[in-house]
Amino acid sequence: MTRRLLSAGFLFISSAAAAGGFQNGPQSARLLGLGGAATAYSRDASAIFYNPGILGHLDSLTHLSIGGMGTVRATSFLGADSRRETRQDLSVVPGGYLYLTHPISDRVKVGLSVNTPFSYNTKWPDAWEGRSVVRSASLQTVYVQPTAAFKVNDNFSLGAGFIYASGQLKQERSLGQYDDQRATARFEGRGNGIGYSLGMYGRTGEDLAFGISFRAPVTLKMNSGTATYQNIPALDAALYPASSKFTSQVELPSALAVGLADHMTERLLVTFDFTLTGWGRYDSLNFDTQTGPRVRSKRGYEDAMAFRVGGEYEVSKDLLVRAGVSYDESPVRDEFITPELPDGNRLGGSLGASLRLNRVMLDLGYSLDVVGQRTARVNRTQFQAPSIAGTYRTLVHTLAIGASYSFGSKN
Amino acid sequence: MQRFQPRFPVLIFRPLLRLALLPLAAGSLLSSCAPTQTEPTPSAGPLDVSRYLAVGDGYTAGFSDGGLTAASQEYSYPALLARQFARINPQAAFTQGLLPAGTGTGYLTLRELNALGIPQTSRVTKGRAVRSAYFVNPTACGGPDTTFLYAQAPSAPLSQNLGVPGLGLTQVGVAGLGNTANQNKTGAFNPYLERLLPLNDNRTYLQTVTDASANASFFTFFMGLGDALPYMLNGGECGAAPSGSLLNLNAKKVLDQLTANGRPGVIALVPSLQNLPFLRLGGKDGIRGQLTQGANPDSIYITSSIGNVVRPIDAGDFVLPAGLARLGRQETVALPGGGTVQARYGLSRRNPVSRRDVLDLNEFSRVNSSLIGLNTELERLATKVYKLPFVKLEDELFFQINTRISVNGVEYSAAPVRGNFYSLDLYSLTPRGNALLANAFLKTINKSYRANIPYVDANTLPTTARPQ
Repeated sequence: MTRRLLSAGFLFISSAAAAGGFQNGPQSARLLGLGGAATAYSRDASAIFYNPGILGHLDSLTHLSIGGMGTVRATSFLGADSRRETRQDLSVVPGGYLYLTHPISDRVKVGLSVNTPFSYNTKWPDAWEGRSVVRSASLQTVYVQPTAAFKVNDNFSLGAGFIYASGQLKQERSLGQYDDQRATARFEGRGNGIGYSLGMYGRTGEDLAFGISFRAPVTLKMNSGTATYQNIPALDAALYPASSKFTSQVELPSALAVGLADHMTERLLVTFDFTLTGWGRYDSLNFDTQTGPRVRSKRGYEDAMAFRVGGEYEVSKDLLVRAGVSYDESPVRDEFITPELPDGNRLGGSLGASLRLNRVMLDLGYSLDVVGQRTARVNRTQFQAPSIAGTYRTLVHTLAIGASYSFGSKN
Repeated sequence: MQRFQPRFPVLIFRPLLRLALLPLAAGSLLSSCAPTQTEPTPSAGPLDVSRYLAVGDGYTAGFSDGGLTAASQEYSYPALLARQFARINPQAAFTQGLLPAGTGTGYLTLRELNALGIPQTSRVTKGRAVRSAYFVNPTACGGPDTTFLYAQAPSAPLSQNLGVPGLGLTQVGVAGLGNTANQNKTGAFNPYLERLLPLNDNRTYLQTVTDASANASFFTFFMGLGDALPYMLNGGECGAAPSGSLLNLNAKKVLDQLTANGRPGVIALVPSLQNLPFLRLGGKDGIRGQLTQGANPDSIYITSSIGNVVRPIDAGDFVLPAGLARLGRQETVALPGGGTVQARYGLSRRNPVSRRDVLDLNEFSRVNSSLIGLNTELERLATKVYKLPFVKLEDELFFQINTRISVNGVEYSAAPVRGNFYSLDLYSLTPRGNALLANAFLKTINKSYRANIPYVDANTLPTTARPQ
């Protein structure tokens, strides 16, 4: 019932633009519980990634935080022509993170961030009605970011990081123009790219902190992807070579974020984030093949905003509980909704907790995002942009478990 | 899990991945929370589609790849429509006069697609469902012609698919058109109608429709191309172009019967003739220009139907596939004054494209104006007289096919073979083409009758009805 109410409210909001794209959930069990409002949150080592400026303000201990995440995107599709419902096959997107910070001096701190900020893994049933648009598609990325920060004074610090990103892309679709149901086109590529991250963090008095961060876009360059065509009839064997190389580029977006954190009471911290994600550069995904047909697909993403609010309450020295709410605008425009990633504006709620066990903090986080219903209308004469008409409804579950440890702490 | 293989930080990641296992397991539990969407119940609105009657020619019969077979009949658009109707009302019965399983009246197979993309075909006569004796007319236009009798369908009740290949609107009043005794009456006998009727039945097609419609609750009407095709396929050399006034008159006669007692239905307006592939390929936008071997396209010479004169080709002329296959071939031509000369077919005034190999602009205009007139009349009848919905097949389907469409990721076009819409004879449709045609009817039905009938998924049907 609640879900229905939520999505009803969503319909109302989502009329403007499409949401979150293939951004993974907040990259830390603590942040996940906090709804991802991270830009001014200085209690977690994940700050290296979300705002390198915070690193300069961490204490004089060495912090390690590691964890694993799992995201399930459950989408159902109701075909406008067939009037039939299709549910995506279950696919869990695995993720993980590692954050390590170390003080060099009181003013200079260094850190390393390894995480999985962007990914999707879409799997439709093999024989579903849109199989010639997409049968499965996935992207996995890993960001590695060595970072350094400098504390300018007690209230202000700056940080910067270098990003090395690697990723793997897979796509498979059926070639439905042939009678053989096994006729398949498959694309697979790996690539990497570089970028940077900048951030500043400041405090005004004891209660209020703010942060601004910018993460540069990254282009994953895939220089030797493989296009495979299987079970092509003899008549067209020359058109679709069994295997050929392709080059491609996957554009990962930039992010500009501003955040506030306020100690409302001694025990309650509230954080607020606004993020502008530069999805606009993801205009198309093209596979330039050496032989065989070129594959171009228009994405037409638009920059998207996200608002996140989180609260953290200190129950005791050994237990922290969190809750968060987020609203994530989709970068996917109405005319480009495809079954590859039928995204929509998202409204998310999250819960989390940290429990001290001896010297280790155990972190837990869970979020449920309700994705606004999207309706894909298709003009079949626009044959360059194949899609399938129908409505998509999606729920996104994210669960993260992590552990943090501080070397040299007294506890 | 196996899909995730980060190349760079494998060592650091192993413990993370292990940690990730827990959320993964929990994730599988959560997957049951996928949002559900209710499938709408198919409904025909106020329509009773339980007793559907289809009236038409070869397109309605399911003629495909140059023949009618038991398999191609299963994929006729009326059969596909009936399948959708059955989803609304499982009691809805649709019996069409099927040929015995595995048989047919012969069909074309593909030998190869030549360099220009024209299918090279062979006719298969194996498994022909003939009965008793055949009749050969040695003096038929265009060479000897054999008339067979085909396996009969049960005639009581009459087939609900009254699609008859080769039938024109101009013939609906011809008595004995399906009478077994008329087998040797060339031009006044149709073996496809004969097999739907009892032996030696002298009913006209109009009477047949009248009798069958008494039991029908819904109809579709798609006629007209059957009048134009025989004339066009023979380059305008066999018989006369259909008379426009007779088309209009007979269309009204048939529709008067179909719409009797307020019976609902859908009236189809015929698609444009010049875009049927057998004309289009040899038309001004087709491939004929590529066949002139570097010479100016205007240097194709044809024999005009007016005055039998040899003249350069006009933009409005259509070279038929047989002519295209021969165009540019070096041939020995007898000179009028005696002696011979080598000349390329169609590229020399001495060896012009023959009248049978070209539908010239005058011939085309004769048949085209009749069909355009028929469309105008059908639209008038539908809106003014019967107040029934009509579907402009040109706008709703055939024109779109010319420029290519993508249906759920699969492209359909007018290209021979690869286009998956037109069959090998270059005018009739493949099973998938029939599905798209059925959907054009369904769209009109859904809109006009406020029905909610699911569409046919063309991509799940075979690309051809011939045995593979």
